[in-house]
Amino acid sequence: MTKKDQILSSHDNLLEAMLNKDETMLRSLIHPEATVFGSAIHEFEKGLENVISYYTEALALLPDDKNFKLLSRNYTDLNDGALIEQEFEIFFTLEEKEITLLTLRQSALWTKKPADKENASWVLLHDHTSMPDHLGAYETISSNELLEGNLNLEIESEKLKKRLQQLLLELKTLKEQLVKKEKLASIGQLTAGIAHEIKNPLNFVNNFSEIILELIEEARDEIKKVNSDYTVEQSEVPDILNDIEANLRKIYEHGKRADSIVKSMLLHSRGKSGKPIPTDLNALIDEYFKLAYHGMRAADSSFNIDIKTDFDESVPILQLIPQDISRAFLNIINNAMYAANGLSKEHKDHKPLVHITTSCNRNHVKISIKDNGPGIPDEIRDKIFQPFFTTKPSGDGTGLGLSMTYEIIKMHKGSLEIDSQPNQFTEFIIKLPITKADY
Amino acid sequence: MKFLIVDDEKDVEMLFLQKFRKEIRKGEIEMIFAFSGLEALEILKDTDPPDVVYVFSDINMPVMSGIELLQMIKTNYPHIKVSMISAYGDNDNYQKAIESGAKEFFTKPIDFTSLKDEITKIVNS
Repeated sequence: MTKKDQILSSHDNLLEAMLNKDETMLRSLIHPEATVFGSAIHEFEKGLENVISYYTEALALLPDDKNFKLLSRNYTDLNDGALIEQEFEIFFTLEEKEITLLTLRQSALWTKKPADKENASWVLLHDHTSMPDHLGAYETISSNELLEGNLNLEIESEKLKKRLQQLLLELKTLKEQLVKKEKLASIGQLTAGIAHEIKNPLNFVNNFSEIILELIEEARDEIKKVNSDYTVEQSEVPDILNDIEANLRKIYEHGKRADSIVKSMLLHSRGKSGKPIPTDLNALIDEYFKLAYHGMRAADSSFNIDIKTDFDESVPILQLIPQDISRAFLNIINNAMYAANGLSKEHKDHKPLVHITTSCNRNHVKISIKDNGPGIPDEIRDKIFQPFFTTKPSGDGTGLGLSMTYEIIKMHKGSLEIDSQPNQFTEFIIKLPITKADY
Repeated sequence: MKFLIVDDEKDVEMLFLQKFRKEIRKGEIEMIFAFSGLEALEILKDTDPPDVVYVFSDINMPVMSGIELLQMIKTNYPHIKVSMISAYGDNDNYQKAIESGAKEFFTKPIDFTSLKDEITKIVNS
């Protein structure tokens, strides 16, 4: 193998290791004093460990099954090393179609391994990777910024401009498809819960109607007994009428309950995002945790969990998009129940618990959803909002739930914080702003 | 004769009291209600031995499921009859209930005619 072949193959290995977050491989290819310039999350990094984390984090926001393709490469031989200049694309394949996520330009300086004078073995000393100017550099690689078209485009070539627009459109379509898939998946999870939740009020409607029919029969019999010595007032009739009234109220109440469940289900499955409307947040959360609970129950009959709720009655009616915000809470509550219940499968005496609290001050409403599951390890704390990141076994989660949740809360100008203690708890704290219009 | 009904749906109380109002008025039966498994166990502890002769319990309840309640009642008070009332009439639930000593398994929506038959049988025996 010539020196050129060795260095080029090391460079390919470096890119491979970066895409696969292969730290061991990266460590063997990087000089202890290496430096990188980038235009991604990190602007400048120095030293082996920092450079490794630069490589593993720089592309973390992109999907897992990404790959790279060389567009052009230039090799310059130097004393004790070499310079590689190249342009490459990062893409992934969906339904046999390649979708380019990024085009990058890289200058990399390779040198001899310090303690390796004898064998010709090469390590990376410096790397500068950025977006080519004609594509417009931006600070953080984010599909949202791409989608919102906030790129500072100064593209001279019409051809390139068209290609970029086409890529952005493909990315947008892809994102919409995935979001739709996630919505459908959550509807699937909910179906059993919804069936159960509708059946209950309907049973009450039927039963109370039946009782009213019996009561009317009794009232008729009573009226027949009425004569000059036994007035209607003395008879059972007033009591029976009171019972009928109470029963009708119950029928009305349970009819409304079924109606609101069907309404929210329709909202939930609708693809497009709606408009903010006055929403009773306590009622919405109450409804959705029940749906989530019965959904899990129906899927797994051994599933059991204690759910405590403390709703602050002074929470004002907020302007919210109910179908979106309900999905956000559903995702968090589902995760909380999954976590708490998961721990009790490992430890028999663990009593799974989810505690939902609402409170408010003048400026915002605070919603806390706390579970006594295994907690979120520090290593993955930063990753849980990334699209496609999931700790569930494959097939159980799309990895989109929390990233959608985060976007929904951001869209409502709210904030989302996480507090977690390994083996003790995880708490999601959502704050939604109260505007003057909410009172 | 005291019957204990366990269900986390509070309106079950109003429903049962009206459905069995004639029997209750005549003094043939007495009905009390608990809205969770734990509350049911508390009620059974109130008198020693418990004066409840028959428990009808929902299965799907938070904290303690109806099946767990059934098992605890059967362990501590084997003479008390327990029947289940559940919206989930699947084989899994049914098998578990019967194996744990449930007398009958009623599905929701409740067929009050068969429930009344069951109660009348107990009252007349």
